[in-house]
Amino acid sequence: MKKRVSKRAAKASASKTISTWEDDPGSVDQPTGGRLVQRPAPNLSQVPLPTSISNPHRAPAAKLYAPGTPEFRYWAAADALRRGSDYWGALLPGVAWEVGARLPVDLDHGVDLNAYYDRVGLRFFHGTAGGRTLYSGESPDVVCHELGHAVLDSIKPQLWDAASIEIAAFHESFGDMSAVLTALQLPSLRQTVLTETGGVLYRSSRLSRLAEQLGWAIRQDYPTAVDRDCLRNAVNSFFYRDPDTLPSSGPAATLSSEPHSFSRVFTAGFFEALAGMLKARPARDVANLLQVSQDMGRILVSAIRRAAVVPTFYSQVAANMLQLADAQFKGYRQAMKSAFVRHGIVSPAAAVTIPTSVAHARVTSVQPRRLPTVELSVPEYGLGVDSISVHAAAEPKRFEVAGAALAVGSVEPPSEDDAAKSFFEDLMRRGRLKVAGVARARAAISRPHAAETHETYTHELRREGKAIVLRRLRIDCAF
Amino acid sequence: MRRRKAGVADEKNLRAALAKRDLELVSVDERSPDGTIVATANRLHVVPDPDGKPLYAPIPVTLRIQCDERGNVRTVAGETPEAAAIADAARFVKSLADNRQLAAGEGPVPPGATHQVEIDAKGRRILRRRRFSAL
Repeated sequence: MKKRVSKRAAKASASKTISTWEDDPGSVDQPTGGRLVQRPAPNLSQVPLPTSISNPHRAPAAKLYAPGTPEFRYWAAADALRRGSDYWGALLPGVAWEVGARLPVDLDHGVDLNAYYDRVGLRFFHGTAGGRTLYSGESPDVVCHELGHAVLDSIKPQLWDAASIEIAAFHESFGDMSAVLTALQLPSLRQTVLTETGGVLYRSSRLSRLAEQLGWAIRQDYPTAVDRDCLRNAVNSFFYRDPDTLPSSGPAATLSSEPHSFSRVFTAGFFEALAGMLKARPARDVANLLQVSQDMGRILVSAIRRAAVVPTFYSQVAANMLQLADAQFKGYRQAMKSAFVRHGIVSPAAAVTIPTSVAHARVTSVQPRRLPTVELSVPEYGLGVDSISVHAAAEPKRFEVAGAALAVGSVEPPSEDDAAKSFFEDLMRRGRLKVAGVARARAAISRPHAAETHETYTHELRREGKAIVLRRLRIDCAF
Repeated sequence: MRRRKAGVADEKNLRAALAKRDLELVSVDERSPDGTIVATANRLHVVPDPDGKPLYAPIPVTLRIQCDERGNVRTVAGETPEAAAIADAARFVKSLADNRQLAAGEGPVPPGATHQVEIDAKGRRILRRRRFSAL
């Protein structure tokens, strides 16, 4: 049944204030502790991207309600829906929902600890855990995740039916990215997260922890099914793997090819890129954080539209994002490149070829000292040098053994050259290689959480005679 | 107002023409004056099903469609998915089954499931997404 909202009622609600959660009713590993904020009562029928709450059918009067009441839940969901529509709608002028003019929303579709987008609309549920009844539609994180599915379906409908692990996982990642970016449109949350992280955004925080309350509820019955402090944390150390090499399912502490699990790789790359983009701005304050959130959304949707729909969808989107980044703000590309390389979404070599290749200079080798040296060809990393000398583990093997492959048998042991190259690339991916001074600084991969008062590189490229040599600087035990 | 050209210039007819080739039109991305259409479609391709019965999974393909002067489909290029995409689809079906996200039978989709098997007019079992879920 179609719900009518009179102009008078819409005008009246716009001048009133409602109460809602900033991002979630829960906090860290608890079902409560979310921050309450007051907001102007939203008008869901407005453009862009109008929505319509079909259950409950009647909107309660717009005023301040206590948490735990149906009226509070209604306005908490309505505020998140409006905020999500306004955020994405501003970046996607002229885009309409895949399902029609308005996106229908059912705030209590039955019993389930979950929420869905099903090309009819958004459906939220209630469920009981630990003696407490909770409602998934009460969490702005969950609402904006589901709204994100509907937004992505509107701009890339071909992803809906695609039988592909990585594409399904990207849809889930987009839902989480939608929750993060929409949350950042709240001034109070921007201030909270800057204070909580000391301006270093790539730290576990209220912003990175998604759906704490729903995560808590699931954890009561399935302790290993979700992260220990939320449903999914955008700050994580998962590194890209071919989904074919992963198990179909597993505890949250491990990566599996299940789409929600595998989505965490891209989400982490995105979140780290967001942090790096803020670091590249003139100041780490609420105004710059707002700007970064909007620039990131613009880059993301443009990249998605341009990306080819192939099994390796992550790298396609990331490559397009890298191409688009510096057009928004100088410095974004480097931040984004570092983040995507560090999470394995693109390789260091691939990252420097987007969009141009680089010129190289020739160098010669140095005399070996304790270990034999090998010349590594490294033009693909954009260092500005063709090759470097490294001390390779090239002594004769005592036993012909190798680590186990994920499927059957052993992995193919790499040659000394391959092992050295692998080690070098690993240093780059982890942001542990200091290149400044002898190679192009823009080839460096940075770490957003690196200390600012002292260096934490473990290796550097050093000019020794005519050669560029890889030398260890220190051993550390940090992450 | 100019009259619309008959044949595949009409998206509905294009959809029907592609369906005869087991292609499901998703979007028309580009139309050239020479009659070439670039479109995104899903190819229904058989993959192994945990039940042991043939299951058709939609695999995205990008098509270059040449039309004749009347707008009818003459040739379609790009309709065969790459081997990697087919292997990916097979793994995807296995992952759905392993995670109980593939519901058996018709009717309402049970909690946690995101996909169902639909029987088409030819009696084939087609993998269909019904929804996305938060977890």
